[in-house]
Amino acid sequence: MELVVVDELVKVYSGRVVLDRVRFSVDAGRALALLGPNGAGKSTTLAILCGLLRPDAGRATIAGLDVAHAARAAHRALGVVFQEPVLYPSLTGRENLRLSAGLFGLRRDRRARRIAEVLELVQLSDRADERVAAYSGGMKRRLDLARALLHDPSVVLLDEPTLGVDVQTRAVIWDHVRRLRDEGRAIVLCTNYMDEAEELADCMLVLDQGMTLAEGTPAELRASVPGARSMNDVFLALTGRQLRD
Amino acid sequence: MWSIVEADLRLWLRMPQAVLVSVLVPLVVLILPALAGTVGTGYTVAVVDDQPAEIRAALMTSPYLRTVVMSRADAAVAIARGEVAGAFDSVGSELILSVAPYGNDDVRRNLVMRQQAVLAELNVARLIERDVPHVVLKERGLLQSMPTDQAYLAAGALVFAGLFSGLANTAYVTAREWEQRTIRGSLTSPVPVCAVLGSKLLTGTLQSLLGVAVAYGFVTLALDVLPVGNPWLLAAALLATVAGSGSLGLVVGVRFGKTVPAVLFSVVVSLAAWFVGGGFAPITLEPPELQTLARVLPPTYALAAGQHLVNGGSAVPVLAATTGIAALSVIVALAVSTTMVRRVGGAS
Repeated sequence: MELVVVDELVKVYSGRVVLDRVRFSVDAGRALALLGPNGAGKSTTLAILCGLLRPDAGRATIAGLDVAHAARAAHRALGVVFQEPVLYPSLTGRENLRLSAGLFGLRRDRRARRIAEVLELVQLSDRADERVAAYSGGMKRRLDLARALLHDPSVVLLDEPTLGVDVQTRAVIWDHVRRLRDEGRAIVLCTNYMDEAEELADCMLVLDQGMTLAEGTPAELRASVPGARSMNDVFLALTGRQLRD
Repeated sequence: MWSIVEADLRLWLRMPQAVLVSVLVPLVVLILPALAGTVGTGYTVAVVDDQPAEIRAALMTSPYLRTVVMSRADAAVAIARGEVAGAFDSVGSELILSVAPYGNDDVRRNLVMRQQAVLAELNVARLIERDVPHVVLKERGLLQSMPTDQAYLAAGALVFAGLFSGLANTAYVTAREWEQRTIRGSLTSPVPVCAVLGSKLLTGTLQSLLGVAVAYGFVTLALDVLPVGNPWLLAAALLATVAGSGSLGLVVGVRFGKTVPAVLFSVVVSLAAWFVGGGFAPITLEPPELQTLARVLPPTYALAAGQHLVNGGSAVPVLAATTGIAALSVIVALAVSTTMVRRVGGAS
């Protein structure tokens, strides 16, 4: 069952095409990694998928719902982990989750139970009543993941979820992503780390300057570049070594 | 929606500097009426030439008055034009003080006080002569309904507290969401964009009530200006003022997306609107261009309602106008800011 469908997405900023007929789909229980250098269009794709931007052409659906026209229903099925955690530093971890529970309309009787569950999941139960300002970067990442999972979404979008975290936190987040996928959710992972993509994704999509350069499983992409010893080699072969701003 | 308001209020209470700004800026403006009792000296007064030379000379040579001699007709015109604060005229043994229509109790008190010094000298001289009746004072042309400078400014400052607090608080809580990029959490939830923005306006309005309450306490307790109007109507007028200016704050917050410029802009706009709208002095004293501008500015009606409810007058029409304008402002601001958010998404 296709939970995420991106069909011929086009986005133009000030006459510059930043997404050019991008298309992909993700089934339930599968993870897709969006790869590409800076300015490739990864974040724009995610912004359209979560309804923060409207495409100039094409459509994106979450659980069969067009995010541009049925955003409210689509958002119920969607959990998003942004590059920077969406947390209020002056609120405690629990208060941040309570706010999110309210936004997603969780009933009061379910709210406390669900908050306890996700806090347990990300191993923050004992720090839940401390202000987020006192959290480490890794703890904020875990709490943000808990926030995204609070309403039990069937689709999870992750934008650089392990950016700037230590190896331990990274391992924990990877475990969570694998578990989410195994539970039957569709995952779209946006990352600059090739090892992360190879580890977590069933399928990879390489974008550059808004266009799809390659798509396939990690093995298929490796096979497409003769002599490549790692996914980094594959990536550089596809996108080139020129620096991007 | 209430979840957002609850979280925002919690954040506000945990930021002492935000609470202080909400309260201190209106208080700074409230210092004006406190100073008003010390200003208002040096009015120019007309002395009608067609009166007993003895009285005219006494008035003109008095060190307590700045006078200009003119005919009775010219004095009437000068008063009407506001070129002089009043005129002294005599009919028989009565010395008549006429005060300019824009004048208020402060002007009257000031002139009477100065004139009494002149009269005292004049009467002492007459008492010595014994056969000339005393000159007595009779006031005419005084608008008794006009408040003192202090009461006028106090009412204006009370409304300013609502104007500034509503605008700045709402602009701050809205801009902060973009500055900290936390708006994306709300915009990727099932809550409609206009409800997210509406909750920001509600938060700003609730926060502003503290500033307005402190201003009211200052006006009644420190300045001893007791509103004569219905307190519930005054509360309604101030609430409408807060919500109306808060609606502009919503657009400002979304447009700027940064807290410091949004709050600075709010200070400048609320002070300018307060000044032009008659918060400092009646708009009839302003140049014609500013009067025209004042008539189309919503704060003018809020200030008029505040004046009527604090100092007396028919408040219902201006209160109805203020409430109507506030309701319309909220609807327009929600529509405009929702469109802006849809255009820029969470990336502003």
